Amino acid sequence: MTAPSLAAWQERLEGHFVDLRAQRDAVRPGSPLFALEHGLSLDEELPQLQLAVRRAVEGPGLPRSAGLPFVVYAAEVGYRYRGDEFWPVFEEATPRWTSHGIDYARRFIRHRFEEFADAYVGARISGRWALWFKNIAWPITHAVLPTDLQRHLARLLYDYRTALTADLLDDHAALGERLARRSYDTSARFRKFAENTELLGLVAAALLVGEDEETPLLTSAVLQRIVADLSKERQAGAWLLDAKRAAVRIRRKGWMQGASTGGAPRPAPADASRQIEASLSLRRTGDGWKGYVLIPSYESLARRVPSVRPELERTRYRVRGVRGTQSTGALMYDRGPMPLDQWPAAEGQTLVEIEDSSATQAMNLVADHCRLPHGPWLFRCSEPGVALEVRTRVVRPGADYILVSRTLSEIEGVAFDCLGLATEDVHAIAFTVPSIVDQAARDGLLALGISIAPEVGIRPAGLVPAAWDGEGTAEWNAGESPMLAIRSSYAVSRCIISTEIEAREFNWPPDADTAFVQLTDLSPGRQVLEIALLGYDGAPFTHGTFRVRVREPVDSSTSASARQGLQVMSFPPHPTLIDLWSGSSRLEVTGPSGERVQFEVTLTSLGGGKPLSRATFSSLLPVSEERWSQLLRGVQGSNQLDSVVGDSEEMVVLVSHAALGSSEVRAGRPFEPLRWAAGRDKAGPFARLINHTAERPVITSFPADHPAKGEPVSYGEEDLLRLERGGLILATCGELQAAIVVPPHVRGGLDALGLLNVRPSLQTGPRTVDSVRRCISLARLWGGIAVPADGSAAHLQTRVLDAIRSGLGGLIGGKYWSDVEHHLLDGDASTADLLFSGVGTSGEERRIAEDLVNRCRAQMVAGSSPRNLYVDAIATEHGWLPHSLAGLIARLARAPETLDVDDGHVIKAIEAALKRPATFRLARLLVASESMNLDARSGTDR
Amino acid sequence: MRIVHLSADHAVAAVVESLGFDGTAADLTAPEVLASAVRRAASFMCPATPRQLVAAVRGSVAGLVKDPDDEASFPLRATIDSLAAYGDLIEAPVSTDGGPEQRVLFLAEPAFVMLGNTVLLIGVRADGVPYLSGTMRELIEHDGHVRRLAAGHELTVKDLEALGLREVSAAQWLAHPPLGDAGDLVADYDRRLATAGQAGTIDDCTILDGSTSPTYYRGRWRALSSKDSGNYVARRPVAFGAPLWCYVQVAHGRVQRLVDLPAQARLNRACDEAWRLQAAIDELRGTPQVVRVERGNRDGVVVLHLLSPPPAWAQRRLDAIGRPLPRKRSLLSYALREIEIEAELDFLQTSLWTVRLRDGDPT
Repeated sequence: MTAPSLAAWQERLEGHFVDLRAQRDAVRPGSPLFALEHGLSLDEELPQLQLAVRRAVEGPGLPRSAGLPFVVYAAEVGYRYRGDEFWPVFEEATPRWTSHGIDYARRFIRHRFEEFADAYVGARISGRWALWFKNIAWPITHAVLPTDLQRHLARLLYDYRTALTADLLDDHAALGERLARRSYDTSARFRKFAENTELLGLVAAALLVGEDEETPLLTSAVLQRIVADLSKERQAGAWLLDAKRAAVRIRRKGWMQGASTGGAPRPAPADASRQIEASLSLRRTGDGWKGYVLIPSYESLARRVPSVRPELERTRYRVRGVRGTQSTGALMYDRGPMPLDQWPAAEGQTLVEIEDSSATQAMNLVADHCRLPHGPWLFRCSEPGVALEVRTRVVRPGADYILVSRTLSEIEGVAFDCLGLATEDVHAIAFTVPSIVDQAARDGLLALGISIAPEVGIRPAGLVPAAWDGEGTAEWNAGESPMLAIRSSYAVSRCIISTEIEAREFNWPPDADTAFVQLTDLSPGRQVLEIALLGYDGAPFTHGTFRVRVREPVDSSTSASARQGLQVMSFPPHPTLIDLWSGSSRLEVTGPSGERVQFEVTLTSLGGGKPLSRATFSSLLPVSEERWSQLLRGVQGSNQLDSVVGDSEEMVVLVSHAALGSSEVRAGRPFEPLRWAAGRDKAGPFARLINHTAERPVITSFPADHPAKGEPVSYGEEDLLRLERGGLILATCGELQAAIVVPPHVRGGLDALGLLNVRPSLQTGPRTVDSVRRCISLARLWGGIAVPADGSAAHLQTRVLDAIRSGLGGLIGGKYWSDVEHHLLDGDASTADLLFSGVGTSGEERRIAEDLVNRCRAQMVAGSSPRNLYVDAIATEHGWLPHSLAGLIARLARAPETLDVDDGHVIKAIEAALKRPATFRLARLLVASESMNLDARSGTDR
Repeated sequence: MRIVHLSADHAVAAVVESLGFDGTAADLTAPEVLASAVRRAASFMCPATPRQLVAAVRGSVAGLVKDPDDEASFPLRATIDSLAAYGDLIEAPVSTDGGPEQRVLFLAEPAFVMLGNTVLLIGVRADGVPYLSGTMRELIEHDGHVRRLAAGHELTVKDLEALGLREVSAAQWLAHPPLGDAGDLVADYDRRLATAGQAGTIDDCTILDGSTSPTYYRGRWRALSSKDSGNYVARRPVAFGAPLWCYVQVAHGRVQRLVDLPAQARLNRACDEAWRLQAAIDELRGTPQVVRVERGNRDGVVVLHLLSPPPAWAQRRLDAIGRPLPRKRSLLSYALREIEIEAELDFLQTSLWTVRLRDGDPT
């Protein structure tokens, strides 16, 4: 039997998709078709079609009249490919494909998909995905859920199964949106896939149908294929099965409720529960009792408001009353308990102070969370040496408490002891509530806002809840059915439990002092239960309140090390490969002090998942961010890893200890439409462009010794680009830019030193706003857009950025300061004296300079960051500039590459700095003093 | 939300079922259920002291268990010790704000140990995340505090790693201190004691009295008296937290010097070092610690009863090859295959100088 021709496949597929369109329209009009729904058998027909396509490709031209086989062929490649690059996989599977011209051939595929979408209402690409990944977006979208992404979706569905509702299962867009919000810990490619929330929701809903059910969203063949592929990995298969079972239960329950109640949905309780609350505690330390605060992770907030995530992840924060500044992105982790040196002053306001004043959305949102309750603050002694806050201010007879207040309190009618607190600005008394509370004691406590617990005791029962304050508030995980025990020492006839929307009444169990109730079908959020006990006369004789809080579904991929003996965190969280490799994201490893842990750093190619290179080293715990930086420098210096970093797609840092276990951090490449890969061969280092767009890029190179001097580079799609003396290569496609710093081709000896320790030459132009903006743009190109190919390139990049910052310093700071900047750039030892005299001629400027340097030094010795010093001094103490402008000038001095030159505030800051250059010189002085360890008293370096 | 009133019996069944067991066949005192309840508490509370875990679990089962404070009928403390010995929990020192170190329990990383055809599962996932997802959970076989993969599971090492479990080698899991002479071990601790500084005033120290019979462990503990002189395994109270294990030199009832345990490695369990040291002391006194062996209720099975607490590394061997049983006039009991008992007795003899009680010996 001869294999069907391409025309025959075209005819067959036309018939198939016409029929499929009609079938789908019958049940769900307008629902899109996917090329993967081709209906061909995978073992016989599909290989024959692929053969026919390959033969056609070997011919002189690509046949426009037979588009459907190509559409199916490309979707199948999309379904199977892994990693970042689609076209190399396609080209490898399709000999002579590039002989038709790369651009033409790729456009050919895109046009065939567009025709398919027009003819059969096929799925269309949309949004940023469609705009920038124009050619590959079609085959990948029509692959429905490529194998590479299936595991991620299965885990997301599994984790979210406890929060699924019947409404969500029917609303694909909403389901897709919820899942997309939780996709932050998945791969870069999956996150890109999840941007199309409609498609994500559609695929998710289709996957969640029961074993023997059909979905109108996808053909059963495609669905079964995805499920079968998923199930090849047992974990992913089990995840999906669990999620499916949960969905089936929810649907079944929805139908039953619909039948019994007429389908009217119950009103959702008011959502007053999403607030993140700081936990206060008192702990006995070597200095006496001390206040502590735990700031919970803001991850749940980032999931609810995805647009705030970037700000939360890049900002540092301070906790009122706590020494020091928390690391960049620390808001995404539970931090604490942290000791309170002073009790925070701002009652009713947030304890969290975001450092970056430009993170306006984060600042606004954070203000609603982690508020310090109004005093006095009541703590229950839960165990020796530890007392936990009781927010309800309800005490129980016989229990021990500590009351913290601004002024020394006394409790009339209750014996108490004054406690010495190691936390300043508050006083504390310890007291035991008498077993029998008389009226005097009751009144004395009430005068302080403290009430006696009612005679009904309500507590979690059965299993230990996720959290409990020991009194009236407990938390459970989503999907759990909390059980409560209600206890009374009096005879009870009936019990009434009510929430905002329903009430339940039952007979009290005879001859029992405790009754048990279980709460089911709870959604994430908080419920307040009112419980009333009725006597035999039918009248209520006591009542109590209990707050039940249900957490958002737990993310099973990130909770791994939170409670283990070995904990690894990255600041900021979710680093990219370049962030982690370059050290802009730093790790912190905690565990028992003095234990030695092993590190294994592996660079892998994601496509094949194979390790390209690996390095191991060890360190004693704890590993601070600074220590990690030292360790990383050792690894960066190893040629073994450095030579492959440009070509690798994932970096894995595994930290392990024989007894404490292990924990790892993974960092991948962002899935960008335009990016550079790098490598090294006999001819030296090179850069290779990965272009997912449909455009031809414009390539420009900037030599390191003349970093502002761009020169056009002629470029072919497969070219390896090299810069003999090192520098930056920029690719531009419309608005898109990608840049890489490549190292020089070093042949050893002094040659290396000369090429790497380049002294860049810069012309900054006249002292105008436009000149400053040009400098900032140049810094942004070299420091914001460009990524270094390897360690040598990173060194080159630093040299250039230092030169740009220095040039900017001279441009704004004026002639004399320009000399200072030259000395600073040269690392001249006599600079300390020059610095102080260079700041300004007035006594006031000099005094401020000395004061700032001394305070900076003191803060660094104390282990805290001096970064707010400048803004506090310039804006608050001396009133030279508003806060926001002072903050921007500080950034202009420290990291101009982080500024947006088109931002009106930035332009105002530049104008202010040019008008009063001493403000800028002071900012530069502070930057210099941090790195030089200056001492203003002696005016010398230390 | 629905609110359902439950009788105490139904509440127990609901709790047992939510832990993945048959609510009609087991109650909260069943060793497997109790171990799971502790793991759940630990998954939310760690790092936590054993005392915190005990308080939380006892509080939650009040009214559902007859007498939750009675360790004999509700062996919560022993379960926590067994989970720490087995490797579900890790004991490690932490210090708060420059204060004294306190030993707390952390979760061990989810992992597996392959011992021949047996795959032991250890570790706990944080924040209530199931150890294995629902359908895979059916592959877990619970046996007291021990979890294994059920026979016929067909999972490869790669499968297990894909489930988020790390492989721990049998050699690492079963690692034990070098076997040696009891005299050398005691001499090593005596040397440490001799070079320790003066202890200062230590009140309310309790000692393990080596002159008492090693067959009744709890009865060996007593307060110091003015007649006591010599070196003892002891526990000394601290202002906050559980009493610390130590080795003390005593003269006329007063502690002269002390070495806090663990002394050999910081991540050793203090009790493990103390128990082995006491075993060596007992051996040198001519009253070695003893075990009892009985016929099991099936052919080819024997029951080994330990009358003194074993260090974690000794208990793990028994966890690996035996089945933990409810205690019967013992601290720990395991059912073993008869063909394996001699090897285990040999190991206990060479590592802890233990001897087997013969029929007719007093217990």
